[in-house]
Amino acid sequence: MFKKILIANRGEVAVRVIRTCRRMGIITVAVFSEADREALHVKMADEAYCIGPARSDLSYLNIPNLLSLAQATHCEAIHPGYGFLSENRDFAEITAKCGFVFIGPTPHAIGRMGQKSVARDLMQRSGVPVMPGSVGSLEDVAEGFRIAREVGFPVLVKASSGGGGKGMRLVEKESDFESLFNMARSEAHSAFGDGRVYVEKFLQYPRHIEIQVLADTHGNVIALGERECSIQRRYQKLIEEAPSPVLTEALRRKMMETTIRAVHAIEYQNAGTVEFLLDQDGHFFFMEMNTRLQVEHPVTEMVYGYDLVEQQFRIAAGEELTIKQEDVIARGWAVECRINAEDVRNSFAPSPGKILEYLPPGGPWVRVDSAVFTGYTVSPNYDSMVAKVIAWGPDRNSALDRMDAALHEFKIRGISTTIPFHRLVIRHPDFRSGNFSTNFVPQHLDALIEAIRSEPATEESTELPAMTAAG
Amino acid sequence: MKSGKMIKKLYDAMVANHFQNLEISLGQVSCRLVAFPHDPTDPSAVLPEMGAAEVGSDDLEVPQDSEKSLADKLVKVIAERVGVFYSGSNPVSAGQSVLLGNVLGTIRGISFEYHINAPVDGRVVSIHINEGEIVEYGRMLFCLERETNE
Repeated sequence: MFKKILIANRGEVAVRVIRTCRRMGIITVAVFSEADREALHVKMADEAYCIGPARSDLSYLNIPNLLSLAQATHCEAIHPGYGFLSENRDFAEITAKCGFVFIGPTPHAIGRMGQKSVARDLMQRSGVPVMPGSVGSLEDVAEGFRIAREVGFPVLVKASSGGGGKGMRLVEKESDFESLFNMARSEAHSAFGDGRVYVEKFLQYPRHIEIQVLADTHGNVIALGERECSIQRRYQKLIEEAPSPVLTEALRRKMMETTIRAVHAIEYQNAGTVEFLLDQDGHFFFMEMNTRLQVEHPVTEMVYGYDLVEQQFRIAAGEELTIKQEDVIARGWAVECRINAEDVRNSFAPSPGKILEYLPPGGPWVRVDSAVFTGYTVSPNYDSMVAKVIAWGPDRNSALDRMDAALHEFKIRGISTTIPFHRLVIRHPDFRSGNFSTNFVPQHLDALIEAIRSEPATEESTELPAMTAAG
Repeated sequence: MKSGKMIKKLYDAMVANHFQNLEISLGQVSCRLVAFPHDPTDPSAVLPEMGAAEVGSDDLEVPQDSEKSLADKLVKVIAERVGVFYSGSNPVSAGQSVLLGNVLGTIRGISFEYHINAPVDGRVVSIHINEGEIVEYGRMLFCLERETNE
């Protein structure tokens, strides 16, 4: 096992990685920008060094500084966390060439899965169902239009190198195709430096279901069930749970077997997640593969009892997986709420600033993954997530009740957070019923915001507005 | 010059003991020293080009004209790259005169060797880095006293 590693990330995920390292006796080197001098990951790591100014491109994305520090501090491996350089093929490649172990998949796998249309074709060849649409990237509007007609409107135009909804356009009718196709292309070009796009069929009421995999360097692959991530706003996940309320055991097995087959076929290594869209008739379609640890990994950890970061280290160190597929048994239910520093009343506008009081929830079956504390200043330079609250229960309702109680207990004063929004969703009858799709937030957003607005604007309040949540 | 040496000694003692601030009154003279680097949120601490910064009146408050002119002459050399410091075959020493562009040391990284050049003609007042030490971004490496034609 590694003796010393560098964590090329900040905030919550850096803290998450440090916690596993401490338990495993691995020495940690943290990096920070000038804006993060007082950050928790800096305080918790064995060593911490400033690598640049607040701007991410000059600090957390500064490959020469990161690798120079890894060399100067005699680290053996680099954990990229999620975001930043975690899915950067060049970084993984340079890291390996400089003699460090990249804790993640091979650069080749990152590169292939990062090209969405390449990934789609590879998955299709490996027997994974993909959404009907174009084969490979499209060069011109006419070809795109022909395919869109073939699969039937509505269709999605998506960036080949994209993710997170950027460079993506929903085209509902034929007359809008050309303008929206061109908009997607120019957005893809400005966001990813790659204007290539592809077209696929759009599902009206899909659910976002993803399968977690672990693959070692000896050819062993296991799947750790699914995560249900349909509660999203603008393609950003807000609430995730494991298992999914709609998967039958037979469908779960089929999705896991399909995923394992594909992971074998592409010779993938380390932790990864294959994301699918599930239609109302139980058909699932490949969406993309995330070649890293996911933000929502804790729900899988809570239900299956394995530390995914530890498994990442063991795989990267060349160890063989000791978990057999038959040992992977789900116990109970887990749900995660991503708490962001955003003002729900003001269209989820970022709410950076100093946290005057921070009292996280606790008690049995409640886990909080966070990197903030009383006196910490949430920087406008980075993403707005301040904490992840994870609750476990023997069944879905008890997990959700525990989440509700935990959110009620959670006090953050000084900044606005999305806690009141999460409490309303957790209590919403449609969410409780398990009968929802990725349309849940768009469909109920106005009513939810209105319910929160009707309350006096107390920044620290986690009290629920008087609403039956029937909106 | 005598009071300048005293301030330097005080500053070195302050840095060695990890003090952020030091205020001293001697008869009618009083001065306040503030350790580098500054609070990163302080906009006045933005690094200028060439990795050098003037030591301004905020850093060194001296009421006497002679001390004030000394403060104006101090230039700090700050690391803009991350790596390991090497002083080279002819390491500079405190008190040594240097010319603009002279190599004060080198930062070696994974794929580069970055020469730290003197940003002004002058004299090395203090050295804040040791051979083989890890250099992080924004670290003060040297303090120089700018040469003037007075």
